[in-house]
Amino acid sequence: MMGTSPLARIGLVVALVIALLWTVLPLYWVLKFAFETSGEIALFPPPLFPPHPQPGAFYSIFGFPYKLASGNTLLPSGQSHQILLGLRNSLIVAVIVTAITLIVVVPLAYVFARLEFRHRNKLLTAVLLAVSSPPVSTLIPFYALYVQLDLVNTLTGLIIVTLTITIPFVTWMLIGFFRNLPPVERLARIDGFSRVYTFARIMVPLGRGGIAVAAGIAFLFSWNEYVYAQVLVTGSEAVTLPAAVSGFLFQDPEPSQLAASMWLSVLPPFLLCFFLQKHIGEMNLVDPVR
Amino acid sequence: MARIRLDGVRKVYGSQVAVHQMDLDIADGELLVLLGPSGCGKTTTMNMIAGLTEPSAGRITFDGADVTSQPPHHRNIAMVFQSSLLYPHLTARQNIAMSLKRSGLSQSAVAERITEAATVLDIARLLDKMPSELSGGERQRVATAKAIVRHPAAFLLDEPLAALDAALRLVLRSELVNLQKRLNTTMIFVTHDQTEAMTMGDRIAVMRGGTVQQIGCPDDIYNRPETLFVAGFVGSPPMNFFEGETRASDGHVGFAAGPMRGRVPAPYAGNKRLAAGQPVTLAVRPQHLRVQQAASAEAMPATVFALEHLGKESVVIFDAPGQPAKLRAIVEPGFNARVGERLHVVPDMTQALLFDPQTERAIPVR
Repeated sequence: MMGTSPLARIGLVVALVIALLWTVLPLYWVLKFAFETSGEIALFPPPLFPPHPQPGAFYSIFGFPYKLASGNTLLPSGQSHQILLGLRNSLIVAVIVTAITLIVVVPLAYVFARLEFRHRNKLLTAVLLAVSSPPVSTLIPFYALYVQLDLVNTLTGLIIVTLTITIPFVTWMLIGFFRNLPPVERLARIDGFSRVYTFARIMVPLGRGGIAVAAGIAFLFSWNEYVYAQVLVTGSEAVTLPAAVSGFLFQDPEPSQLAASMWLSVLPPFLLCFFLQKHIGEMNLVDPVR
Repeated sequence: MARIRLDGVRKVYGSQVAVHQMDLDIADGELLVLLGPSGCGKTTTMNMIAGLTEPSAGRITFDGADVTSQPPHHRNIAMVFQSSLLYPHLTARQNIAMSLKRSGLSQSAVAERITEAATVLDIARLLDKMPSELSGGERQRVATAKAIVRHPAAFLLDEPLAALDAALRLVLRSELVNLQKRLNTTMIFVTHDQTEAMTMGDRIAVMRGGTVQQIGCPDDIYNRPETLFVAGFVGSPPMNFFEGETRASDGHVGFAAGPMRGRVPAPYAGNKRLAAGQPVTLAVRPQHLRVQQAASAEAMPATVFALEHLGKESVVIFDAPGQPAKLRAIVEPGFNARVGERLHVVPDMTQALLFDPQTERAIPVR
């Protein structure tokens, strides 16, 4: 630790503990619920640890029965079909959204970050305007449009809508990152490489850390997206995991199964952030309009 | 090897002129330094020679062949950028190899060239390191190897030593000159450091505001500056300027600045156009300024502003009444003076130069 006064150190520890409690406690509490029965969840005061931890809820949400130690059997959840569909659909949507976002955004951000052209700042402002508008503001127009185009309850519709969020946001992130790369384009021109070769074979490998983070962010956005999914695909064959999980709130409330499915949806983003952590620090989030 | 010529080359960005009408003739095998403060157009000029920037007007030829609109690669030049820029994600060896990727050489020929360049620059043990693992001097050597591996017709170096510490700069600049002389390849070197320019250049082109102020060998630039700017920019400590005017004094042309009186330097006596009452600027190198305690007619009173001890000599910096610029005199190393002390300085008129303050140009001797 830095050479600071004991008081400052205590302050730092207290701040860290508060921050950790703030983020970790809700996650723990949900995890605790997942290993309890409804009766145990209803206990007051609540126990800090599950009195008889068992993974029954995880069996239920995947559609399997589970035999408790007491001899009772936990039945498969009525929502299991939706959960499994949601898991599959969320994965499909997130992967496709991530791929398309990268294909569009990497060249776009590069051009905005490193090239000079007419109306550059005006065009950039137009791209970034979308970052500042809340997603809900476009929800109703999209819904009306989708009814006409027959895109309600389809994965295609959800992918298109999610891209309208990920593309501007990830562009904004990557511009700052690309701008901070050293000016190796001049080196590449002396070495005789075309602009396209320079971009594809030099700048992309050079910026792979930032691009990985951009991919992660696009995946997270898509994976966590709830508002559009709730309106556009809930209850259909195109349901995504967040929308399917919310189903527990409305029919046959089973808190331990809700908790288990929430953990199921938290896990991929959690792992993703863990592995991308090193590169996230390298990102340079600055005002891209300059 | 190439003789490089610029004919009426000009570069305009919007309404801003970066380089005015530029004519340069760089001999084959010559080391030309483009010297000037930042924003003087020296880097733009080099980028135009490299082909990175297209001139707005004019012609650039390499050995008589017009290359004005040719891309950099077709000019067979090699360039070292500021801070010895390398591809950060490639090893030193891969960085050097990138220079030959478009050359059509066979793999074995490329490997041979890399070994040769690495031997010349003594970097064989660095070849598998990443740029981030190299020190500033090592990066510079790798960047130079990347340049020579191409066997270029000309080397273009854009302030490659600017980011290094002074001691290392000293070593590397003699290495670069040595290398350039051994390979006998035309080299253009951009810098804002006048010491670097003086020590390295066969010739120096001093630039300011997009024009060449003077081009010549270091001796010419130092001893016969053609403009006030060149006089003030080259030399360390910088030249002293006394702003005054000519006076008629019993048969000679006299010079007066404040209370100081003197004759114009002997070589100028033949200049018939030096009329009495003409404003002139007298320029004297610090080693030609004598410091004395006593007042005298030919001395300028001056207040000590600071004293710099350099070991083998000391520099006294003065404020003089009525003179906008500080005056500097080189004195014996043991010299002692208090800041604020009133002393007197006497320029050595045999070594002084005269400039016209209006045109900022040197006044011809005759």
